Amino acid sequence: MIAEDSGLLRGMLTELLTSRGVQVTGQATTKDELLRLVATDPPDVVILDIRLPPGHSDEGLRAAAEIRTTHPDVALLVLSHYAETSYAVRLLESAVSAVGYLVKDRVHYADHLIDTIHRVCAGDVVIDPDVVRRVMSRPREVDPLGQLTPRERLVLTYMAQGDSNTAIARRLCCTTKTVEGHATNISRKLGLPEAGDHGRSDVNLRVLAVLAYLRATGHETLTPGLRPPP
Amino acid sequence: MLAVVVGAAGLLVALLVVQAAWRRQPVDSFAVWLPSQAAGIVLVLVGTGVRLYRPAHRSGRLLVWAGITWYFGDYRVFDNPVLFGIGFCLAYVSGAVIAHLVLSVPTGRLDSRAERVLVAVAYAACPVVRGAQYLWERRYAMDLQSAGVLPRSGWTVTASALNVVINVAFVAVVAWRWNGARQQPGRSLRPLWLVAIGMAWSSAALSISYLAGADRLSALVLNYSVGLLLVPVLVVSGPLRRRLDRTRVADLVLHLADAPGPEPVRAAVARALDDPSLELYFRLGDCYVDSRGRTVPSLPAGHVVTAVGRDVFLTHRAGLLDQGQLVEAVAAAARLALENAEQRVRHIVAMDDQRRRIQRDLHDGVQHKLLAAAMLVERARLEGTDGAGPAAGSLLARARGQLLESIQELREFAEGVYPPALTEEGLAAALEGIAERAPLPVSLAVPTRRLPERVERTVYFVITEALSNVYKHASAGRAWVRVTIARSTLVVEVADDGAGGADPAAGTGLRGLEDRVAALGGTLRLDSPDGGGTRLVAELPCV
Repeated sequence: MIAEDSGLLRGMLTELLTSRGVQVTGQATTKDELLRLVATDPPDVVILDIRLPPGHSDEGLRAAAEIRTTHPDVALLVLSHYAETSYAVRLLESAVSAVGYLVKDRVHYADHLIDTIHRVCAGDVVIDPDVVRRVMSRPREVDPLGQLTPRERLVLTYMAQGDSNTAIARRLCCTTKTVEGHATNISRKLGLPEAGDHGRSDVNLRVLAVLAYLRATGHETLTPGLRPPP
Repeated sequence: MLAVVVGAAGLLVALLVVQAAWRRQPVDSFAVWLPSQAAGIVLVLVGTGVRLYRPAHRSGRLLVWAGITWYFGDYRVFDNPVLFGIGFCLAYVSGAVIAHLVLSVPTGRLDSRAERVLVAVAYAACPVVRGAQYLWERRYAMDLQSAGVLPRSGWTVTASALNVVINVAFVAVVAWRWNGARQQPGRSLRPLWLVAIGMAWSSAALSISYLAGADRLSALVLNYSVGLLLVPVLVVSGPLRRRLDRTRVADLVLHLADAPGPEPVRAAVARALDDPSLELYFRLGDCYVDSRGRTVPSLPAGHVVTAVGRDVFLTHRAGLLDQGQLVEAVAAAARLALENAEQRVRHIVAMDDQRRRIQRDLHDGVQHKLLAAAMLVERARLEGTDGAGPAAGSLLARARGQLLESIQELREFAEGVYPPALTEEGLAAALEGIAERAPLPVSLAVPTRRLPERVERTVYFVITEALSNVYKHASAGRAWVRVTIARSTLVVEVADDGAGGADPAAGTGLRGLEDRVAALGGTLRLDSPDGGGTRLVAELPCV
């Protein structure tokens, strides 16, 4: 089921998904319409724009939270125009699993979109690589990420994107055991809570912890006097 | 010209009367005689001077009349029956003129109903009672033209009792005004009021002594005469004060010339009028907004309201009405400054609305179309390019790359035009995004609590503008942003460790920020010593 107020994009998405064997059971243009459609015929997954009429602000996020409360089995994939970390964090706070946050222009890449849909349907958490890159590459005065090896950095990136240890292992062509080793090192070096990926909610918690950590590291260097030393 | 003629005539008559009385009646004591004869002449002279040099000051005419009427009683020394009649009937009318004068300072008007009634009664009392007595006992009165004090009769008792009542009422009215002027510039009138009360007491005491049959009255006459001599001096100190006030208005105009918004205008006006409680209100529909952006359902009670513009009002202490002209001048200066500032605020609001519209247009229009094109290109590439040239596949891939780049650039541009996260996620989240994209480390300390939209927008743009200056000019290695809310003031600080020496006058960016901040009633400060980094501090009232 798709909720998107731009007719052009809605049509394109429907066409694309249908051609890839994904059945589109309904199309909505507003939040209320979406909630009605979900209530009458709950789909496997809802793809929804973060901005929907009438307010064009964050109706998508609020609709996602409502659907998660009323229909916990429906997977959610939120499309956003912007790689805003705060949106992703808010989404993860309202939905523990089977939830994804993609920057809109990524949908042009059909394979990635279809893959994400399948992963979300399978209960995974997916965070757009752009969001993670942005939050990782933020300039920091003392960059704690500097302590990480390039390999560990990559693992952290995938962790933030919502990948499980197994998925990371597959992407890095190594064993799950190796990934677990990296994860332990990362947790130790950054002082993150030790987080495995046992069960889906753990993955979600891990994503939230990593994102929260990455966002918070911008502030800790703030000196009380504010004024830099001459 | 008329003033000169009246003044000269008044003076001439006064001198004639004094001379005639001098010849007619022996002087008991010069200490009593001199002030009482001189007082009227001084009144005429000062009054004429005021009329000539301070025509706007309305007390001049009353001063002259008080001086002229002061001698009416002495007309009885003339043998002419008409002059004697005038002298007999209007002997005490000068007291009414003095009451009128004292109560009308400084506006030249009698503002309360009580004052108008009192002055009317005072004017009427003497001619009516003495006139009736004159008609009734004319011959008897004529006989006494040189005797000074009239024997007691029903008429004189009535007149004296009436005089006591009027003087008591006068003291009551002055006391009431005194009380109303407790913490006001009207206080400067207190010396005049004190003297007037002293004169009223002397006058009432004279009547009571007369009723009681006492004849040691010269001390009271002296009191009254000295008071009368002081009155013109104290009244004239008003116009002098007003001249000082003019310099205050001139000062105000200078200050207002660069007052960027309602709050600085309010502060300047409050200073000029010496009334810290002064507030500026703008009518907005059926409620009012003050200079700091706070909304109130109605103008506060207990203050006087002076309209500045059609929908702009000053509320100030009642006592400022004593300085009517000053308030008017200040209101005029404030009006100009506000129109100026209002224009700029309107401009900012219009600009923001436009930014939001542009951002939405980019988001809903161009970006979607580009995205759709990218999807089409991608499909074409995936579905194969059999039959097309060998380069078709790679061309399509390049086209897709170009489109994606355009989308990315457009997205960043749109984010810069109007931050998408600001409205929905708040200041802290939106600034997070700024820090993530910054070219240098930016430390943030921003409360997560939501603020009114206009405040958030202003703070956001102040910070982004300040940061973009840091990136461009400061050659800084890092920057700090701190937003603190203490009581009802929000303080925004943006600092860097760069070269400093920023010139606030250079460029329009800072001026734009100043307007933005001022639109919310705030202030902006730039501190940028050479080599010592730059620090921008904005303070906003926030409710």
